[in-house]
Amino acid sequence: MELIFFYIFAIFAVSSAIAVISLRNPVHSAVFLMVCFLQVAAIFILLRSPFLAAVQVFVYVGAVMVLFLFAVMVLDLGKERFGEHLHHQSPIAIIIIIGLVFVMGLGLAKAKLDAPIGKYTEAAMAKNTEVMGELLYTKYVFPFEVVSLLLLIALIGAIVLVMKERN
Amino acid sequence: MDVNIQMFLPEIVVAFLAFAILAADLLKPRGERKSLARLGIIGSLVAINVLVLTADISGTTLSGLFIQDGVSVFFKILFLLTGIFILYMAQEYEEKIKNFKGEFYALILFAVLAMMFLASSNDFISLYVSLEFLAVTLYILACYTKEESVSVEAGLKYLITGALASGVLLYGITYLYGATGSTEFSQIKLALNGKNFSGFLAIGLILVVLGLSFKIASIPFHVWAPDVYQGAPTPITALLAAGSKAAGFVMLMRVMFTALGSIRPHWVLFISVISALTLLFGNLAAMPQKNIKRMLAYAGIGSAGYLLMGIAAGNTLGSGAIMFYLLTYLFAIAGTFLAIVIFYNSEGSDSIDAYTGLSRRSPILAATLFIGLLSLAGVPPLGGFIAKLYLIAAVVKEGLIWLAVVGVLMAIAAMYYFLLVIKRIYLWQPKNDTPIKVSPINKALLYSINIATLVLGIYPGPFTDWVMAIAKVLF
Amino acid sequence: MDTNTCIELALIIIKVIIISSLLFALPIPLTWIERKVAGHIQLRLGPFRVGWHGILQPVADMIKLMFKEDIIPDKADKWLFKLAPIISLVPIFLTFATVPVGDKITVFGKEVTLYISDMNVGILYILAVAGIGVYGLILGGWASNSKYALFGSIRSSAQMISYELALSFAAIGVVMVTNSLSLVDIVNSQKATTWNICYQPLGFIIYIIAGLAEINRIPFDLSEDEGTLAAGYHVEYSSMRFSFFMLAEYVAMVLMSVLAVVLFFGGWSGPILPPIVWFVIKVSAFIYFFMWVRFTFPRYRYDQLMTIGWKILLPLSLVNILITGLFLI
Repeated sequence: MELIFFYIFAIFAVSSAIAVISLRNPVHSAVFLMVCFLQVAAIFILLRSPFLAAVQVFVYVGAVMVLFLFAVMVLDLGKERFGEHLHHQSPIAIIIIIGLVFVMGLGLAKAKLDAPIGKYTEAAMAKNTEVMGELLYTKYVFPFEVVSLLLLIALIGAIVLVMKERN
Repeated sequence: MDVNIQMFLPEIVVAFLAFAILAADLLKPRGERKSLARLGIIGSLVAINVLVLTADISGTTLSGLFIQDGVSVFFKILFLLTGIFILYMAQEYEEKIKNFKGEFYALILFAVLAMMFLASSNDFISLYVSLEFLAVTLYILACYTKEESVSVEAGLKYLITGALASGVLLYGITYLYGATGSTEFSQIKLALNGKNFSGFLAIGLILVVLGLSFKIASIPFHVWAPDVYQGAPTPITALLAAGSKAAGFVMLMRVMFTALGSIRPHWVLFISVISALTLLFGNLAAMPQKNIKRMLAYAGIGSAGYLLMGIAAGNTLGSGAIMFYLLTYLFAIAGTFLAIVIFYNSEGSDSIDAYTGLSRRSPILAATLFIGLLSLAGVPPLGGFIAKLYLIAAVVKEGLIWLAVVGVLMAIAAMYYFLLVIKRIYLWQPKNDTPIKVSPINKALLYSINIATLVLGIYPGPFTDWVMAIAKVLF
Repeated sequence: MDTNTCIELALIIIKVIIISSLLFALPIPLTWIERKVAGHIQLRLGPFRVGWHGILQPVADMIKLMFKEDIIPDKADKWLFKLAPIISLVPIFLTFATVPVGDKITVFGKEVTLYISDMNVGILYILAVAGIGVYGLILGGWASNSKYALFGSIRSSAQMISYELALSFAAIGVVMVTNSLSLVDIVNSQKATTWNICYQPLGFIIYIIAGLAEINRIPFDLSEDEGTLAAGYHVEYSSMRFSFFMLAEYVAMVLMSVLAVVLFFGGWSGPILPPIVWFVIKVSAFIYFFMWVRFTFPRYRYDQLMTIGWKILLPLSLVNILITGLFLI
């Protein structure tokens, strides 16, 4: 049952991801990007991580909004034709993609998962949010602090790059 | 949770310093911001002192995600020195940036802080977030002169390739996690003990190396380097060349030696091939360049190839040689780029043509470029020569003779294109021979950097002993 | 599957059917009430012709909407134009999956919960999924290929980016007090002590203001500003597609009222009367409040809207979190 759902979500996620990069209209791409994120959120739910799923929807919905605004305000839709002057690069790109798929397929075919998995019990999963919050503030406090610095820098950077100093 | 605050005291100092500069910037009127750079330099010196005083406290803290050992101390000193040079260069360069904002200095310090975090990362998660922290800071810095279109192009190219590389790295990390069940380097090492080499490991390994190749500007993520080096403000180019590359190599050393050291037979050929290709591409493509920053970018790609030889060697000699190379590289880059900044301030050009007959106009700048470029090329008796020698010796010791041959040949190629520039500087007649003014402080600094490069070449003993001793902790 | 899981499944399906048909039907009385409230506030009588006191007016309106011609502008992005009303409607219905109407009741000796699912991330889920609904307006406005609609859609996206933050931060204050993201737990913890409005007065004010903006009602309905944009994002829509937008707007108002009750006013808890009655009374009071506001306040200007969002509400909500944190320590 779960496996069937997983395949549904996975197929939708991958095909909408392909649609994102192959559609010519950036607004359509943005819509498919949203679909893709929603499918990933659904997969998180299958993995018993409702918190990650909710955050996935929450954060990325905002991100897609920014993309949409970017597409509407910066690009001149209708006149813009993307990638038409990059056609000579597509054979190389196709070769590289096929190579990557081949190497990864080879690797995956040989792979077997023998690492210890399922560190968290069913009880811990039920309290998913608490477990995650506790880990963030204890074990992973160092990356957490680094991320907060990162966000601060991103904020400062956005202001510095946009603002004009008054005389 | 264990917290040993002494281990990350230098980082706290640098973080406070960066925030202090951000705050002080608000109080300073326009045109008086050079004192911010001086504050940063003094603070960085304090941080180095703190680091040296607490250097003997080693071990892991913050639940094992943060490590302080000889290697991290070495790299942190290197990064702080880089930061000092860059801050000095930045305040020389300040007038050339239209609409200059004081956040420039704070952002440089944040970049140094991010590199220090990277040097201490003992876990893929802390490595990844520190890497992103560094990357975001550098994206902003690369397009800081946003009135010039080349700078905006630099920032955009850096951002797009950087985002792609970071995705590749993250994807690789998930495979390694899947194969070993841990993200911590020492745990991964334990998990790999007596285990077969599986497909998951292979994919993870390849993707992680490809992702990290962005930071060190080696093949296949090298394409950003020339455009970004050329377009970014010159001090930031120096930061990318000396600091960001060193940060990339401390990551590679920790990942390849500490975490994945036990499966070296599986990755040695992969790294060797990348190293050889990078060497060939960087050095051959540097030859026809007309812009000095662009030429140094290709030369920097070549250097990444040399440094990867040390990774391929995978022994104490190799990793010691990487650290020594980065030390000599820092001084060569600092001297060369300071000279470029001074020259640009006076002439307003970075093209190699403009350098014609520089020796008649400013002997000190010419001498600095002479020593700096030849050290990058690896000419005896300069520091760069000893470093290349050690790297080649390290791969020969591991039986990779063909890689050593490529290395030697490309050192000769590097000599060729650097000597072309030096010929232009010393043997050609200048178009106008008005002397270029160099302030006494700049002169003193250039002299001391040149002397440092010479000392590293003539009397490398203490330094090589030091790096070889600390390289042992990686294995 | 054994019989027990079958019954569970059937129960869930029944609950979904009841809730969605209720939500589909709710706008019918709500439009009538809204017009009556408007009338009496403006010293008029409101609709009076169809049925007793005009009570059949919404039915007449519905029939009219259904039989109108469905126009798709020639230069519209057809695919998105058709998709947009559905995008705005579906997420807002989905959010009700985790809304608790009451606690458990016993029917035929079997315990039945009065909510479809008690997620342990309930409040996050509602805010996240409700956020998707805004895409309906934005994409619809863009796909219409009309100046007014596009302005409406851009205003709406700016508004959403600015006000969703304040709304979520206001909710975080409640989460900090009750130590849970689950709506059922939030109500139960209020039953044990007092209503959260006593601990979070500032949070409640921020929630109500940001909530008004989030559901695009006056004084924040700039995306359909009749004065300057004709009808904003839905200016090109007619017939059933238009009514989808209207339906979504009313359900969003119900959702905001329900959330306000659950987060700040103790949900279904109350003395003497049965829990469901209390719940309905409280929710109706909030719905009335929203209507009252609509006919009392003038519309804000666009720059005022941004100023309120970024310079007042966001800092205030951060201060609220800080104060809550200090009290909890």
